[in-house]
Amino acid sequence: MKRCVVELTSYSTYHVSRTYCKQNRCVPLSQKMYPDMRTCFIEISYQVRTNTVSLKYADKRHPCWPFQTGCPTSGFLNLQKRRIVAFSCSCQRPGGEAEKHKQPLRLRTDDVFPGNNELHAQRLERSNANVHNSFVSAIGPNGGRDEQTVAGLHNDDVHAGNGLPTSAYVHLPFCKRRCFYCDFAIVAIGQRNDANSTNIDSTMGSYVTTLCKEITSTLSQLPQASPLKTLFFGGGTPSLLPPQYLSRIVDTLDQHCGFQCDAEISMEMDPGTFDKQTLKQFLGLGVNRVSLGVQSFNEDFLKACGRSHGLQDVYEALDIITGLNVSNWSLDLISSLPHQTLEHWEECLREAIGLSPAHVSVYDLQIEEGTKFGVWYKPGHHPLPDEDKSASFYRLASSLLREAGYEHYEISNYAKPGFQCRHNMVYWKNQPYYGFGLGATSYFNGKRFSRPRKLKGYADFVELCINQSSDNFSANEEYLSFYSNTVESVEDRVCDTIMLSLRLASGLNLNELSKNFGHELRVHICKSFLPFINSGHAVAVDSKFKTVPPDTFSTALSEQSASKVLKDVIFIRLTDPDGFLLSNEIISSLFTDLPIK
Amino acid sequence: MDILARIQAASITAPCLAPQHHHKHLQQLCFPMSTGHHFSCFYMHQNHFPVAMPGHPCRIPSGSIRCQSGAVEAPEMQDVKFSKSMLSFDMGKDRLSKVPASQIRNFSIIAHIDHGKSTLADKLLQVTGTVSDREMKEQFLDNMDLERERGITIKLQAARMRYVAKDGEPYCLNLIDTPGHVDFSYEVSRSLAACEGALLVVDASQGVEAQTLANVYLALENNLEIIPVLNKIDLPGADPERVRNEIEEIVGLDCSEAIFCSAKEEGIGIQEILESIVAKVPPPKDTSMNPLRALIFDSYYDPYRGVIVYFRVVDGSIKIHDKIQFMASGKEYEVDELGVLSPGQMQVNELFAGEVGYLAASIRSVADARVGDTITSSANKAGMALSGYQEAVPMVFCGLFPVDADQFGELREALEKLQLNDAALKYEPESSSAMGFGFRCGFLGLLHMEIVQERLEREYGLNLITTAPSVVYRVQCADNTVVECSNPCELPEPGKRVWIEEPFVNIEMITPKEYIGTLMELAQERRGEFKEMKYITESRASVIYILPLAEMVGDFFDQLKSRSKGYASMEYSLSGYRKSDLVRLDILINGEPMDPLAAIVHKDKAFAVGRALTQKLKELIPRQMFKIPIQAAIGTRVIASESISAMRKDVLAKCYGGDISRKKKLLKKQAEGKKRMKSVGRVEVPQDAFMAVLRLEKEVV
Repeated sequence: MKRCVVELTSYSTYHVSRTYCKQNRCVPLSQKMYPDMRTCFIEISYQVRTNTVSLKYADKRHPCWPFQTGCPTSGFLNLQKRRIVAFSCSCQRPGGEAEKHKQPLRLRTDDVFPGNNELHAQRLERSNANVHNSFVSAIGPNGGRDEQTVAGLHNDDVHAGNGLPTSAYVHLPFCKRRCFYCDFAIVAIGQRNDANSTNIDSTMGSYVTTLCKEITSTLSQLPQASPLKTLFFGGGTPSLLPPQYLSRIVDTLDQHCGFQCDAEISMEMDPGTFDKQTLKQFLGLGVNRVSLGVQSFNEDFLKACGRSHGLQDVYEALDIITGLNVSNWSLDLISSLPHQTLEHWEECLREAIGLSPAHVSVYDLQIEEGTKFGVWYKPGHHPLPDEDKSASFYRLASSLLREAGYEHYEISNYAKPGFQCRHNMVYWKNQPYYGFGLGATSYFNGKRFSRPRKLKGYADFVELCINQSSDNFSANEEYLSFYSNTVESVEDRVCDTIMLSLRLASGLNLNELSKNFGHELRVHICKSFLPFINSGHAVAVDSKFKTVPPDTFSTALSEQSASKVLKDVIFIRLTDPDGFLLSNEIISSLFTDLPIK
Repeated sequence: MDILARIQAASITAPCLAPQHHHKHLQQLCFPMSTGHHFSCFYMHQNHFPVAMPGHPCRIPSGSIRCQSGAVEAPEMQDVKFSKSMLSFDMGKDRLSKVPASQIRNFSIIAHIDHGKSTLADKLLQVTGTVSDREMKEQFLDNMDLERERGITIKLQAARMRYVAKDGEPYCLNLIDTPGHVDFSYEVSRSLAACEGALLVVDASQGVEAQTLANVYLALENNLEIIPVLNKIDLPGADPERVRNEIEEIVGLDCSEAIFCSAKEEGIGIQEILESIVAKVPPPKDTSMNPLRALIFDSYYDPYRGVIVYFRVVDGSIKIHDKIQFMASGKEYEVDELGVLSPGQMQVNELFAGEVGYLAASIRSVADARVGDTITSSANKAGMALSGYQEAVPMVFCGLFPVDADQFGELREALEKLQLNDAALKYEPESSSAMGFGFRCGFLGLLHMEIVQERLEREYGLNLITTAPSVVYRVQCADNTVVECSNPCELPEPGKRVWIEEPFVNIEMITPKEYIGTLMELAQERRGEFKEMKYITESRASVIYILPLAEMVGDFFDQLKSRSKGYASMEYSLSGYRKSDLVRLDILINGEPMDPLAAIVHKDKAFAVGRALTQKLKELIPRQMFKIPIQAAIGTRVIASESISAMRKDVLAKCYGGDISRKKKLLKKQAEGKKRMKSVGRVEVPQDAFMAVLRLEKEVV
């Protein structure tokens, strides 16, 4: 076997890692990488005689990888002039021997472009150039705080591909019980015991069957579904689902669209719902990111929220996770709980930081109608913290977590460098994604669609999908337009872009805005931003990654040369924490100002 | 108390306000002529016939030239004859029959609110067969939806009834309903002027109230024969003897023959009332030979037929196709349609002195045929108009602004339409930085104002903001001119004015004695000047104050009711202008004056009002991204100040499994909310904060 390290030339995508992004410069980590494998080193072994290839990952942060070396390929690798153009290969999943599921996991790095390799090479080149630019320009938005995160950037953008999603959300609605604050589409099944075990299994089984039908019907109508880069199992409590059911879902997806070799597969897990064996099985199925719903490190608060687990369960779950060397795991916390004090919250944050998760999500409690909390409490009134207190919780989280080395890359998300949740980035970047399952929302073909939130309604919906997909395409369109909303209007797309990008630390990319919606809108938005820039809630960043002082910005706007100066302003982002804290106010003001007919 | 409740409490009848939907009641009716020899069929039409149907020759009853002209007949029904037995079978339907003037009785019912006027009127209609039991909806006379819903009468109407008295003679009884609220005392007086008698209905448990008195005085002024009726005698708390004495003592009426009645259910004393009307109310004078003079006591605008005028023929006669003139407005028209109200409109060809009817003559606006005006014949003009006509003078003003600026055009159209029907309504465009474009409107009084607002919102689907009501101030300027001013923003600068005069009213409150103290306190708080107090009975007193009208237009009435647990009643009349120490109070938000909240207040009250308003605004204006000072100022002197601290947090932390639509919906809703806010400088003030403060202002100013 000849071991060949593939050298990538100028059109390759560079891996971008914070470590190498000092002083506003971007240094490629390695050119010995395949474009899509951003977070891993990879070696590709190529056996000339048999024309087989094997992959090897060298990233220790991904313990659930590597996909085992020495897998036989199906021979799709094309190496021409020592360039990788596109390839697809098969390999076994880790621990594959021990598993019943021997079906090879297809890893497709990209769509296989038919024929013209040169053309494809050009495409890659172009898109890489874009990424590079937008990356470079995203550097240093904090002006003077260059080490700070280059949050929000991911070369997931590279694959505009054929416009089809490369991300999927799968909703697994089962929970032991409904938490008091929760208004998600969930199905409470109670504590599993001998008496109800069969029932639970049959409920879950039939749900998974329906879900797989939906996946199949959705994906099989597409001319060619792109392999997934991210998959997110959300809930509900996905960890309640027995691994064999999860396996059916993964297999169905694998069959219809496959996964890219570095796909991020996240799973929400609740303490007290899984043991070591189960997690091992999940990991074996490809899950490589765990989001643990801890919510609080205080027994009383857990009880007060109606969580199904106690503090002991939390630590046990953490032991399981670390015991299996899952390094990419996230921890969810909720702030502004009833009776919570700043001391409680600080304790909770310090405990979380001590456990050193790769990622932390901090959600501010929202009182929703129809929940127990909605009945018991009134936002801003005792025992809920008032607005000022709640704001101080947010500030505390922001400062403590950043101190501890986490990037505050999104309003409620913090990550160690390189551990941003790629799936959620798809949402913030307004990219398409599939949604499967009860109450799940999807965004593709320019349409946003929410699925029914009740089991029966969802089953009917899937039935209808299947019937429709067997019919002709136009009937299906009709069906979709009946069921979903129409293609998003320009106004909606503008609103989406604004509200989503401002959640990110990187902020709103004005170049992209003018590219998509015209230069006038850019000037208009800049004007709308002026009061917030003046008040310190937002910051303008120029092409040299320097913060544009408010004075310069406002003078530029009032002058004739406005458009020239504004061209120089590439990003506008909200400040952390002041701007983030008032993001709704700011975004809704921007909406109000939009020049919509 | 909110507006609806206030109207309900005030509960009063007001004229000139409602388009009516008579067609609902139109129906085919058959009836014999009163002479009993000729029966014709009378056909009622849903819509107006441009030219009335062929008239039937008038049959002159023996022994009299005063007659009802033949009713219009449907040609195809012309020869239908009915047997005489039908007369007794369905006596109510003879009501269009000709009656000599000596057998006409024109009367109205005067009562305090809730003393059962409408119920009694219903009962009379029912007993006389004017309205069949089947048609009988409760409170038949109140046929606007608004009225029926609230059980109050806004719109006055008339009804012609036929009653065969014990003497065997058929009589034509015309009931003319009156509006009861003091805002409309002019209209009440015109209605009463169209009658010769009145039923004074007094609740046998409640006794005489302020409105009873005011109406009785109006009736006495018009020389009406008053028949006291004690209503609701079957109620457990009824004490007819006490109330009878009360009427005798207070009103000075001989109540020895007062009728005890209960209009509910089976009806007690209804027959006696009818007999008493026949016996006591004098018949109208027979002046059919004189030139036509008819008194307009109501009019309303009908989109198909133009203004419908309700009138009482005082002298002469009026025929269809006659050319008529309105003596005050000078306008001439040709009568297209003539009829009587029974209570639906029924066409006839001619009406004679003493009769009550309606006409349509393609009149474009009620302003051309105002209540109180005299109709005469163009060909044979009367020498003198009937006395008592007055121009409508608005007493209370307020700004009306559409909540949604796009509705300005609709508001203007709606006001134009309402004005067609309401000659007392005045309006002119007004604009304000905070409220955008709207109108400054003048009303007869508070109830009138509330009804107009209510109708604009209800019938025209408008969403309105109203500023605090204001009265007309007279400003003596330094240059020796007098400026009339009802809009605080237009008040001349302090340097340019010498003094300000404001209108005062004489207010009479009738109350059980235990509330005298609290009501005097109320009047005192409202800058009232005590004039007189007298015990009308051992337990009840009348208290008279002179009070600035501005203090009355707020929540005075509500306060009177709540402080007396509903037992006190009041009436007021204008007493003229007086000098007062008044200032203009401005409200500033973030240094910007809010014009709509500016108010003219008495100097002694400015501080309290200023503090109340700034506190309320602080409560209602949501936090914004910066600190906002709120001040109340007289000129440049700040007399009260509050501030709203900057917003701390407004963030949606969680994105539910990529449910972007939901998040967007929330943000868009927030953005919509911002659009609805009124910008005062940089500060966004929610619409409802405005309204709440305006409401508060109505209470405290």
